[in-house]
Amino acid sequence: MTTQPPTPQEFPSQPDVAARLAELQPKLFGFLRSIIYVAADAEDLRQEVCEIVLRKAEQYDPARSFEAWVFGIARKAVLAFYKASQTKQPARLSDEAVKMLADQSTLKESKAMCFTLARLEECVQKLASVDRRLIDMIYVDNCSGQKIAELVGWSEAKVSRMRSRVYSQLMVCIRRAERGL
Amino acid sequence: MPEESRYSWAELVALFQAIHDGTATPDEADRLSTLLVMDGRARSLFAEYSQVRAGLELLHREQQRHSLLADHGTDTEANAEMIACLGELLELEASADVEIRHLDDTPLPDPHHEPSSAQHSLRTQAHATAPSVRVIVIPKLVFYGGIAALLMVCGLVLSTYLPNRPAAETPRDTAGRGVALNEDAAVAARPSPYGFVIDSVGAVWKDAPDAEAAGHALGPSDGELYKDVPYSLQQGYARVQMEDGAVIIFQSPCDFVLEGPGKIRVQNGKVVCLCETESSKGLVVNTPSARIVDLGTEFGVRVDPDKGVHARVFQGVIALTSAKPADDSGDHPSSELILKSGNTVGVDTGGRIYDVPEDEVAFVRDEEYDIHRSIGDTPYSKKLIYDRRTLVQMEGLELYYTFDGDSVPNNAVTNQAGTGSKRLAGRLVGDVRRVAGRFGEHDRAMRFGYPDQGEGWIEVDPRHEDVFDFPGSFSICLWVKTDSLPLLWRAAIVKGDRSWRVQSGGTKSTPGALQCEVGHYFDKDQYHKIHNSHPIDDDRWHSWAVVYDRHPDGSQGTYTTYVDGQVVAVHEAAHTLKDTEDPVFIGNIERGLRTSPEDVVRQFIGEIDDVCVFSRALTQEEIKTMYQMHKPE
Repeated sequence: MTTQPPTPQEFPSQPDVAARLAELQPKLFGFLRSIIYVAADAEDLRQEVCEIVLRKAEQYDPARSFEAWVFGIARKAVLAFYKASQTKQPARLSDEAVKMLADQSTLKESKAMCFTLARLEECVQKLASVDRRLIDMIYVDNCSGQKIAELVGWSEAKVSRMRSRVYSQLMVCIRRAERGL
Repeated sequence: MPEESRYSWAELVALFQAIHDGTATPDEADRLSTLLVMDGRARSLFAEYSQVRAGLELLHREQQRHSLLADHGTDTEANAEMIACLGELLELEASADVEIRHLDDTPLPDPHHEPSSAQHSLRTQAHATAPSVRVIVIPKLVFYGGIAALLMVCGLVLSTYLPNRPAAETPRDTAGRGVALNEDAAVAARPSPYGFVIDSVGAVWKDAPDAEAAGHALGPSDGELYKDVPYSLQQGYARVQMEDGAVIIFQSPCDFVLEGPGKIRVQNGKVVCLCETESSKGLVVNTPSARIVDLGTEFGVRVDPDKGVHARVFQGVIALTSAKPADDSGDHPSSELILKSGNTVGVDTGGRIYDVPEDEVAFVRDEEYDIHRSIGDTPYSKKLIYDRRTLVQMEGLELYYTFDGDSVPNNAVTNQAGTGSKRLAGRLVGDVRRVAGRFGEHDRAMRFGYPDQGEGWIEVDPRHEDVFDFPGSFSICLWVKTDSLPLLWRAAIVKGDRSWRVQSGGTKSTPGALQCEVGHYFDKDQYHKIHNSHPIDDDRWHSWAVVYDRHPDGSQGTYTTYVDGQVVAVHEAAHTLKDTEDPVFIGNIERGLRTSPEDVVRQFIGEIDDVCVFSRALTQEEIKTMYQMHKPE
């Protein structure tokens, strides 16, 4: 059986691709950031992926999952990045883990976590003031764990624990919000 | 479940954090890879965690963008401009006279490069060398603006049309809670867990075999909507984060119910509650005979169904209300107390409140829990907890060298004593080797004088040698392991060679004996040597303690030598301790300070660990307790 090529009308228009790609940004960046440990590199790679997606928009087959297509491109980009920086990325996840993470990102049940930044911001606002201050120190002031420990007078272990708790609270908050609670 | 795919929440989060921070070792990356490949739940949690962290980074950039826009025009104008730019990019993409660099034909970025302004712009620059190519630079700011604008529009559309919102449309039960009508509604009405397990140590839960798993949700479950679910922790410890942010450490055996996101009922057992955040304040702990409300603090509660409740405040303030049985009129009279840091009270089953000695109830607090978590519930963890809870708080502790792996630089040894003598650090001199102690690799000891070693010793900071010129009583405790105590004068710990000395003191008739000398070596009248015939040269660890208890009139004192917590020698003697300027040495005596400089037989042969010096006489009970808590099993 031969498959008929889709008619031009079946291809999503480029603005559609851009809109759908925009929706995927937190998830896509989350995937890349979990694997590329230098934030600037993850950001560059995100841009590279976006460029490829936009450039190849016309090659996208609507019969396939859009997310799977984007994350397939992202996975290849990550592996290419790994290959190019093999000696400079001392501790990295295995190729198999990267592939499974990319697959995981397109699973239906993981869509609940495809939250908007507004949702995340709401949850950040619900944090205790001390937790929000911690977030600011990490993301606004770019403080390392050691620096925060010095400034606040905690041990580094405690800073690490507090960070874990804050991230956990945000995960719980987003889950609740996604369920309308 | 295969052993290699078992993990704790703490381990998982630590691995997530390490890989995100770029501090993961190759082993940690391998471990995380294994877990991610083998366990879908780990992958799911990792994806959630990564998205939250990445979202925070994006959010921060959004905020930066807004603050920049505030200086350069309105959001609406700027967004319109950005969307136009994005559209232009798409149009130009399709045109033939623009060459856009792509991942597949461009060198990849150096992972260690410093981000430059060039890297902070979209890589849509045309090759400058191509004469027919237009150069287009779209700043990252503009790209984000477009993306963010689209995101906002999509968010609006989605939030308008997605069927996930109408809690108000869900039928309510008589208590005002949602009732599940169909599958979608059931998902919407599914109660949120009241807390989840952060991590656990050796936890065994009754009827909840999975509860030891990291991230396990506690509270109402699908099958038991709005019903209190009882939990029974039969072994080990578990740390739970409540929905409101409080962290609770449960110590087995413990029976409890999570009654809400900020409320628990403890029927039996011990809990320590840590309410560090604003949202966690007000945590309520209900017990059969008292209700405890947090007012921003850390506190412990022990419930014994037969005896009542003990509550102790470690930091901050709590309100405790006792619940008395109904009186003749049917009322339940109650008493309320405000407890502050350091207060401990008991409430018996009749609701009567009474004082409780502080040390009567031992709670495992956050720091101690971490010890258990990192090394398990072992004799070594018990020792560490005893040390932190008791030993370093003991009056008169001037010096405590554990030699444990605190990776001190420059051959330094840390003084763990907590009573103002932190300055008494030590220094390794010559050939002294760190070896595994009596609790294995976690523990550390010092090895001296073996045939493959040169001379070596530890010198206690000589600037403060006067701390050890004791005017009255004092005590010295240490652990030693040796298979060779040659005759005479192998220094275990000494203050030079002319003051007090704890060393081997065997003679031909008493080989392997221990010796404690106090006084001026050359003044026979004031020099007291205590021999005993308790051999310790069996290549096993032994506790060795010497206590000098000076009588109140100062004329005389008692020297008592203990081995493994037992008295092995007692000697009454008058003395005047020689006040010298020599420092304290462990394992040897510096050559120039020996009474005979050429005397080469002062090197201790064996291992030494956990050296304590007190400026008071320890009681026999204290010596026994230290031995019990420090002995290996």
